[in-house]
Amino acid sequence: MTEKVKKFAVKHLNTPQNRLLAAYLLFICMWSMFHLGYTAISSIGFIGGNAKQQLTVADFTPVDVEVVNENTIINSTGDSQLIYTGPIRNMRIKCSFSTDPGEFVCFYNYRGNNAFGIHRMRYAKIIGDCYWFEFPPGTKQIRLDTGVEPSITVVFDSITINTPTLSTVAGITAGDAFTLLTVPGLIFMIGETVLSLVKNKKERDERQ
Amino acid sequence: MLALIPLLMLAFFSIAVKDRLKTDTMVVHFAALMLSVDILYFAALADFLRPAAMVVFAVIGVVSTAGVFSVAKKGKSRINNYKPDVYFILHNISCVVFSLIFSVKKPALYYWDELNIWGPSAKAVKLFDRLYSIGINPSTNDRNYPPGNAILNYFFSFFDSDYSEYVLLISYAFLFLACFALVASVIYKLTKNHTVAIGSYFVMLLSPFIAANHLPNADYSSISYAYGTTMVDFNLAVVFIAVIALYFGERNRKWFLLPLIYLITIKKNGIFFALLAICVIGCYEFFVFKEKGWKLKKAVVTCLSAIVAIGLAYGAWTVHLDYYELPKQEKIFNLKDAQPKTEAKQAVDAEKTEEISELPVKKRVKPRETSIKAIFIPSLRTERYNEILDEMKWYFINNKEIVFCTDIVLIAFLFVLGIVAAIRGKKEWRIAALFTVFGITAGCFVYSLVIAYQMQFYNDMMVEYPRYMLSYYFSWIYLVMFMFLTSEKIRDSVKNMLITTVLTVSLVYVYGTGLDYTVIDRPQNPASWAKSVTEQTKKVNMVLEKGDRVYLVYPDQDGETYIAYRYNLQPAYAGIDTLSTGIDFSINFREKIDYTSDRQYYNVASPQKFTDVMNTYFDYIYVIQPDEEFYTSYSELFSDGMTTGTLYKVTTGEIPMQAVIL
Repeated sequence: MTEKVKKFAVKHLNTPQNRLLAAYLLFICMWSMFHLGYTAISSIGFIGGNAKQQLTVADFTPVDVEVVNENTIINSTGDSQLIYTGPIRNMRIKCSFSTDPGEFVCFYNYRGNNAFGIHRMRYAKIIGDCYWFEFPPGTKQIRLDTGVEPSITVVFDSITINTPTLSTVAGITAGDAFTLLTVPGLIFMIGETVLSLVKNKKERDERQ
Repeated sequence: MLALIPLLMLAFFSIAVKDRLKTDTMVVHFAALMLSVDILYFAALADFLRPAAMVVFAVIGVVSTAGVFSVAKKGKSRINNYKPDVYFILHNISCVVFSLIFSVKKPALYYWDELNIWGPSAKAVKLFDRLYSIGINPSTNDRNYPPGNAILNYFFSFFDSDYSEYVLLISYAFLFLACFALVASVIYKLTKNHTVAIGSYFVMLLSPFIAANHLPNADYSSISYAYGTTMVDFNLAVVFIAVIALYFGERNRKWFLLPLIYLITIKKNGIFFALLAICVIGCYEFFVFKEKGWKLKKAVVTCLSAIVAIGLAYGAWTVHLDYYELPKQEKIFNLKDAQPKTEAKQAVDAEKTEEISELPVKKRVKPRETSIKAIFIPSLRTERYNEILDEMKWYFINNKEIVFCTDIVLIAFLFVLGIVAAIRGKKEWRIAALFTVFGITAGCFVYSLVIAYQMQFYNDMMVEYPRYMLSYYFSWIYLVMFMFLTSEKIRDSVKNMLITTVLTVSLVYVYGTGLDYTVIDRPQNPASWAKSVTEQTKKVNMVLEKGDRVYLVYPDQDGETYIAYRYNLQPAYAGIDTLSTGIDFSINFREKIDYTSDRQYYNVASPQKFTDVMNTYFDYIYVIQPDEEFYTSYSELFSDGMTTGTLYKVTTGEIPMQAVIL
């Protein structure tokens, strides 16, 4: 087996161009296997806790919100929030507002420490009669802002989180794309350094 | 994704001709790109942009096809001659990855200068197939901005039927990646060390993030978003190092003149960087000691040819501006006296006149204009100039806005590293390298003075300062890195270890800051506003035709609304300022109001005069959001009484402004 690998390497990895392409190919294969495998398993709930769930208002921590029943809330201020803590990749909400909420946005963070900022925020996408939010992998906590005016009544028909989708299972983020671009380069660099060390050693041995 | 077609054509072209030119594929690729944009630049100055682009692509296409046939003909035995080098492969892989990210993410422009200058100029050139300095300027208020970024976008979006913001950003990314790959390729050529060269490529690839990531939450400037900005400050540094690398890569050819010409078309500051590059090249030409003595004649020829090249390129631009300047039109309307003043207004004015007459009469002194000589002669500097210099000193010692450390620490580090690289470099280059290190350090001081002059001239705020300095510091960082990695007497193992460490730290740093908002992704809040304007104007754009003139009605003095709509309504001329007529519509309908005032709106024109002006100069009125007084004065002229978000056709009928059904 080792001989075969050696023969293959000598025959096909004889130029830096081929070695670079091989580094990319190898890393992409490994990354795809890991990424697809991990996210597929996590999306059906075996690891990471990203299983599909139906939520009610009771699953959220209300802030400046008057909870009428498990499906209905009334905003007490212009900054009413519902906070959910737990692994989450996406959320589909079917709901109605008594008046225009102005902004329907969701903040997220990776630590579950109630720290939210505008750089980690998603606007709702309207898909059919539902609002759809998608979060990056590793999201641990979200904060749903239920409108910019007080006294808005929000009636939730359904709240579904972690619906398995193609983008959550096979989706590639900009960060992933960067990993795929840069890490093989690093592998190539390390490989070339090792190769040059081996060559030098060989030459020294031969000279001796 | 059609932006990949020019890239692919260039790739085939480079592979086809590299053997004949006896150089690396990446060098040919970069030189061909620069030659193409330079040709387009000169052709655009003569208003032959589209024909020139067609000829350029035809030539690239024919040569590439001939190259492919030639490879097929020669068969397997010669195929190795056409194998592209590692850096060319790396460049193309990177371009594909960037294209994928950009086409999925579709980053948007949102920052003031992007909506006012860099986006509109590129859009105008794409949609009109001519420079914005010819005829009515559909983009910015200032037709003097050099068109380098717009030409680059034109080249890469040639096969796209429409203009897209993300394609403009992709064209920048392609330029960056080409420059980085070229530098890496030249480093390899000089050192024969792949580890160092590949490492330098990735460090440079991550450098825009490193420049941006230290202020991840600052929404002030889109330069904070690395590859997601159309601001050209970083482009200067990137093209500067490409000029130097091409000089070292092809020392017996003058190919470095190609990016040198492009450098001055990026921004006015580009002239400084072009001169800096000539100084560096001059050092390596003058002070390289050969066995037969100093090569003075060759040095003079090289430097003179570079100066002539940039002189021609910039001279052609100024000639173009003069040639195509529109004659100022006579004012047809005298708007100021149109409406009789109300009694209350007359009383207020009379009171003001009395107050003024009671004040002691002072001799009026014209504010002193700063001469460009003030850069070098302190006595000529104005108070504002000196204030800026004082603030710069504070920034220099205390502020950490460029990279991780203060500017003074950065400069000290670069100076020391430069000296080490010079001393450990090739023996024949040692004096030249030392001159370069001292020269670039002194150049930093001169550049600061130039920036201070520029800031007081344009009345810029200090918040712009780090962005301006970024161009210089990164030029310097790249240059020192290049010198260090190509120095002969530093052992390969040391270089390998260092570059691997720097790359690993860079990767960890970039990932650690949260790629979700620092990578080529639109910052959610400001961009969402800009995107909402794009959405609103989509329907309006279906009605408007190229060259239609649109008067915008928006809240008084809200400049950002104005520039965003003007940009999005292109290719219509949506300007209320002058439409190149010399008549400033934006102030003739109101009194000039100071920014510190409570922005009281005052209409000067009567409804009849307003109608006449609209009929003479405009085809449409787009009511974005009228303020109360505008509404009270003119609503009767609008067919539906004037509603927000409606486009009106200007007619000569009884009710002149007729709502257009969208």
